[in-house]
Amino acid sequence: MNSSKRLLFAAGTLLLVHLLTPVATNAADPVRLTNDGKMKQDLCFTHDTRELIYSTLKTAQLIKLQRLNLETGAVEDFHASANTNEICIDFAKDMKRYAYIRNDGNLHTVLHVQDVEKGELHSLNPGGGFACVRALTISPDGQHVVYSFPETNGSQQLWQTDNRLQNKKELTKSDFLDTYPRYSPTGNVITFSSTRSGNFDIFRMSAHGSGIFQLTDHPGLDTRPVFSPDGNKIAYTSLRDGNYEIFIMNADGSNQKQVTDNPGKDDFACWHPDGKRIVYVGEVKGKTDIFSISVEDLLE
Amino acid sequence: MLRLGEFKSRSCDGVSRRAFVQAGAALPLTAMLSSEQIAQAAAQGRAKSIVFVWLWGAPSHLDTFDPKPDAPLNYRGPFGTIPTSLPGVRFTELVPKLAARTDKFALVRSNVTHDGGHPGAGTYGYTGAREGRGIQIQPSWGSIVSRARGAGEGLPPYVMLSRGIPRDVVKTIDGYGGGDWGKAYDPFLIQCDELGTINIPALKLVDGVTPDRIAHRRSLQNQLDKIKRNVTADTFDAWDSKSKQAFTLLTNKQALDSLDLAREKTPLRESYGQSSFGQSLLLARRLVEAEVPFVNVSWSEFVEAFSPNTDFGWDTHVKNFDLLPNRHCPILDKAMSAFLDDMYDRGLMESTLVVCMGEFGRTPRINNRAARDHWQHNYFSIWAGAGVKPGQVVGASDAKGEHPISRKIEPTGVGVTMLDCMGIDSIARAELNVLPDGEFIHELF
Repeated sequence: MNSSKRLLFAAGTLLLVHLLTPVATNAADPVRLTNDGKMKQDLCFTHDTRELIYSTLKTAQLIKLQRLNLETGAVEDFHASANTNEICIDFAKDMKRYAYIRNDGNLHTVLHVQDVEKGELHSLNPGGGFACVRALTISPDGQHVVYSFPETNGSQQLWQTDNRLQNKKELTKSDFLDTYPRYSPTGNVITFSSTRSGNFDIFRMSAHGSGIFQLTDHPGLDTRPVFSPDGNKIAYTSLRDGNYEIFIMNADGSNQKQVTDNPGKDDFACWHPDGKRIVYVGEVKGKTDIFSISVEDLLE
Repeated sequence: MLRLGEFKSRSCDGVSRRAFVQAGAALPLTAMLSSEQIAQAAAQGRAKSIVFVWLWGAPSHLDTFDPKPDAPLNYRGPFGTIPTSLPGVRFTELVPKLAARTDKFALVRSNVTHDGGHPGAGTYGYTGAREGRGIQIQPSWGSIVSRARGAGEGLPPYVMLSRGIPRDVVKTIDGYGGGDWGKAYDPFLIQCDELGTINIPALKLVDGVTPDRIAHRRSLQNQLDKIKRNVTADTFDAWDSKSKQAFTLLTNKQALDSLDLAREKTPLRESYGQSSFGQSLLLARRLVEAEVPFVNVSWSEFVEAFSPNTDFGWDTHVKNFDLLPNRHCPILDKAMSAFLDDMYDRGLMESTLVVCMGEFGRTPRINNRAARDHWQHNYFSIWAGAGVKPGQVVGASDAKGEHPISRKIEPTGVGVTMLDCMGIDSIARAELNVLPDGEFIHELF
């Protein structure tokens, strides 16, 4: 075994120990899962927990989706032939469909849903000119997609479609910026980030758009909420202490607790499917990598 | 009679000057400056170097350094504001490190320009003059410094740290270089990636140099030794100016060392962040130490914020409220803060002028794509060093950030102030026939 293979093996062993066995680490000790230091965003576990998919700045001009094999530590391109920016991937629970955003033109993005079984790619092009789908989520049963898109009044609303990206329905109607939607594990609830309170805070509503309820209320930015696998908790990013940190709270907004405490930027939280750990993108010593941190002690 | 023009100015020393130079008439010939005299005057400027940090694509002033928390939501945007170390002055929450360092720089909140398009505003920002078909292209600030100061040993006098000449998807700006003075005064382009690896495009023009990354020192040295044996005077003369500069640089050990970021301590490199912008700023500091008179660090080659085959500039017609908190502002905040700290720690700020700005601002009113468009009527610039009085805000914008309400500062004023600090005063500028207008920003000093 040459040195690079040994290194890969060691990294894979570390991942294997951390991610495929019961939690035994202290909540204050994040484990680094990548080491290249490149910009990363939009983490998403596949539901068989074998892989973590994310977007990374692969070259100065290209953000690519990559897959981190949690058993071996190997990293490879998710869409090997992609030659333009791809971000915001999300999987249905059975992994038969996934949705993502592709940058196919000048200041222009298209929403895609890949039907893995049928090999079909469905696209929603928001129109000509500068037009960007901002963020998305696919329902756990793979039947619906919710995404955020700007309106002519300068606001940004959440829209829902079926899994062929047909039958659009506007879920929110407001004068504000609604974005970063995420389905709950049951698919009945959506959490999202909105400026309805005057700045970005976390909200929730039914999957039909009714019953909008504010969960956080802080003058600092709160954004990118994600439900825990049991639906009882929400992890999110907050700038409330003057730096980007990961927080968790109960799904009703109570019991807000800080998870990370790092002088760099911690963002893009994603729950491990075991519900006891959160992986996130952290900037440590100038390098941007993926870390895993136990939150078991914070779940009470 | 050759009228060179009327020049009003005030130097960094606070001395007002006024020159009216008419060759052959108004002044005796002895009053005309020779190139040697221009160089001598330039050498006596307060600043030995300028670092011109170019936020290409144009950052939103409302979402960074000139927030309007009391404006309607469709103007002020979604970001909260935080206090700075300067009482009564607030920035948005996206730039906390710079907010804590307002004692290290002065902020201008009343910049204006005269073109709402990137190439045109870019040329204004680099030259103070218009670009367009049939219009004489004026030399850029760096080219003027380059001509006035002359080349030193090894390193070129005007270095641009960027992936390429600033451009949008359609064209490069006209005013990046020597303009009608010729390519001899163009910037010497050095690319620095997020790992601090250096690439010198001009090397590709030097026949025989195959490795373009100087990080591979031994390999490069072997090639250079081979080239040196083969290069004759005739061969050298046949190269263009940039190839000559590249060859001269690479055969000068001291100059070559200044490009080697591996010589920096790891914690310092980390403090700038693993981004092309951050590592380029660190390289800029090393070039200042090597006495390069004009270093231009460009955020990106392309303006476009999110487009295929571009490099994520500040042109946020879309995704302004996504990209700024997710990527752009954290990179800017970290890298510029580290750069200012490092420059002050090393005592370089007394003799270095740092100017950080884009080509314009962005629409105070949020557009119909939930983002912001171009806004040439009001934007910001950051100034530090060379006698700039830190801890102050110069100029102010109105309640919605749409227009300056005091001290409107135009690109010519930016240029005059930079050049004056380099000792290229109104008389020298008249001699060089550049920048006939422009008001020195005396409030900064």
